[in-house]
Amino acid sequence: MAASYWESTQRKYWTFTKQQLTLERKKVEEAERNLVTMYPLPDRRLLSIYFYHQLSKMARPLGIRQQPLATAQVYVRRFYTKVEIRRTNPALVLATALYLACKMEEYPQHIRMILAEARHCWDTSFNDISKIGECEFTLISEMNSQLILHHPYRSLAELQTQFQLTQEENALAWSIINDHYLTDLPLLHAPHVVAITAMFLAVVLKPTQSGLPVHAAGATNALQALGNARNSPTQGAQNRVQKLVDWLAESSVDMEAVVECTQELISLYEVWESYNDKTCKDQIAKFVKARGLDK
Amino acid sequence: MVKRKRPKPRPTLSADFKASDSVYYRKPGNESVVGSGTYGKVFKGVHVYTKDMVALKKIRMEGERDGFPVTAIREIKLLQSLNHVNIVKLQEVMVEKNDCFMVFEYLSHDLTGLLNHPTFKLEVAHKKDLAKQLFEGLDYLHRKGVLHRDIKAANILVSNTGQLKLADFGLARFYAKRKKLDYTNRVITIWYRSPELLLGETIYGPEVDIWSAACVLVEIFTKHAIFPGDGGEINQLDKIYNVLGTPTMEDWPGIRDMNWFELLRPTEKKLSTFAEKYKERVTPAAFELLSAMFQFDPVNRPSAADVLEHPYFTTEQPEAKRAEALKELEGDWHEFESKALRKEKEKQDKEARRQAREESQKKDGEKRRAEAAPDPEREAKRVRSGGTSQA
Repeated sequence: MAASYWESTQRKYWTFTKQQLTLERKKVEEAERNLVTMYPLPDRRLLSIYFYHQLSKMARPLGIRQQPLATAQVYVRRFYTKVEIRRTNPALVLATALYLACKMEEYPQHIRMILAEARHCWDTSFNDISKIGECEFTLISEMNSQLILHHPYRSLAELQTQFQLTQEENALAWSIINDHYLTDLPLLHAPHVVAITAMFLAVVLKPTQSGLPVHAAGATNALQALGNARNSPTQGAQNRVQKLVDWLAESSVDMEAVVECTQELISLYEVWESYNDKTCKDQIAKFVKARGLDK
Repeated sequence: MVKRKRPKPRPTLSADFKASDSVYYRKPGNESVVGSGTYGKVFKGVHVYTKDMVALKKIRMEGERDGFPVTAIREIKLLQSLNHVNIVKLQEVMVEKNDCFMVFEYLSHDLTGLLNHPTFKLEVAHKKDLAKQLFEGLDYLHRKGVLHRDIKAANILVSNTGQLKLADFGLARFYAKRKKLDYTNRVITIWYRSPELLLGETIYGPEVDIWSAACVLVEIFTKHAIFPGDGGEINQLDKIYNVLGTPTMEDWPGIRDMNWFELLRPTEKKLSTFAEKYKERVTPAAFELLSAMFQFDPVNRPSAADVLEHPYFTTEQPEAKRAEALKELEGDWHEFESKALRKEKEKQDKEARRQAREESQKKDGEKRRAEAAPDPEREAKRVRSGGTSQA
């Protein structure tokens, strides 16, 4: 994308502080207090994991790549900060977000194909393309037609050449970026901050055979190293990490933000342990069925 | 002590404004239409509180089976990522009842309307200023990696202070600057379409916009379209060959590789009549610039940045001057109004001819009939507007 992030609608209108985000969500929930108490839902991050699984299930047979998938995830997150989830049919919202994201990322899909995949993986009853069309309209207007997204992948590609990351490190950083879409980070921080965090974590934690999820111990080290970056650099023990820490210390990157991102990601990996596909599915199905939202 | 702020008086709205479905009031019916084409209609609107004028482009949703039109998505995406004085500003996208509108700043004229104005004449320095702004806008687009793909006089807006802005990005797209990718060749209104596109090329770049811009430049200088074809590809190529001559292998080594080269091979050799037709009508530097842009081989055409460095802009007198006299111009002049005016004039002409005939039966004055004949080349334009593909 040619436009710069600094002038983007993403920065101007869709980046919040944590407090703002909490407030927004509270407002939405307050308006539907009854629904909220009647139909409890799992932790937002767990729901996000579930949504991600559903989105990838739809995307895989259509050959949709990571970028449109990421865009769809952000659209869903933005939408649900403005609209109470219990008033919607998440299956329809997810399918539509994916459809719109594909249009936006110049990877257009036929509306019938999206519908077919959605039906396939949700065993739901909406079977009319006009539903997707309608929902798309709502999605666009809720987002004030601010649809351009800047993702951290591009920043990572630049960092990769600068720091000569190994293939494993790069792959790990890439998947950490994929994971950050399961959190609120895309609504909280600039893409380059996320990219730097991902790279930093990848280098510090070292891609090991165990892969993800990341060990909590390693993560604590990472946090410590970050803390040190703001003080004086310690003796050049770990060469590579040191170089990175030095660079971070000298750069004008917002270190508070990087620390916050790191914490957010680490707690995601902790929450992930308690993920259960069925709980999410059932709890969503409960309000969808009870309120006839799938009709 | 805290001073109590006196509340602002509640704005009162006239009955018309109150009845408006959104903050942008437009006159009912077709009265507020300022443009129409394959994409839908453009209305003139006014913000009921600020009284700012806007252009409302209605996104046609009827019969769309694939949801929100992908061309509209592209246009919104492009315009939101562009920011330049010579590019029209998209203020917002608005939903009113079941319709979706793109809200643009309003500019009173477009180039077609202005050039066809019955009395207003642009000075040489004003023409240069418009040309300069056109290429500054184009240079910005190409730097940003955007192909406009529908440069024509009707898509170039001019404000009443002489500010020029490129509009209508319905066919525009980002292009890969380093890689050469395949795009559709069904773009650009056919009068402004470059020879390589007419010959079926699908791998192309900013050179196609330069060709279109050169066509517009001729219109700025002479008020007439240089290649007014009948809407078909073959006739369009003929029109080009009639002026520029048929291309030779030396001019354009790549011509053999064009998809439809064999199919559309010219039957006879023609020599260029360009100098004969245009040398006297424009200044020497302008003629030189036009010749450079009307190159058959796209690689030989100058970039927008090169054009801006040309002696026509840098050294030749007079210097560019903003057309401030536009302030005094009454009314709004777009292609749409000048078409309407033309229709009206044709009607009057018909009437005049009829009267003339009756009169000529009495006297023998045949001369007036010839004078009153409508301009045939402008007619072809209407046919052509359906020719732009949305792919």
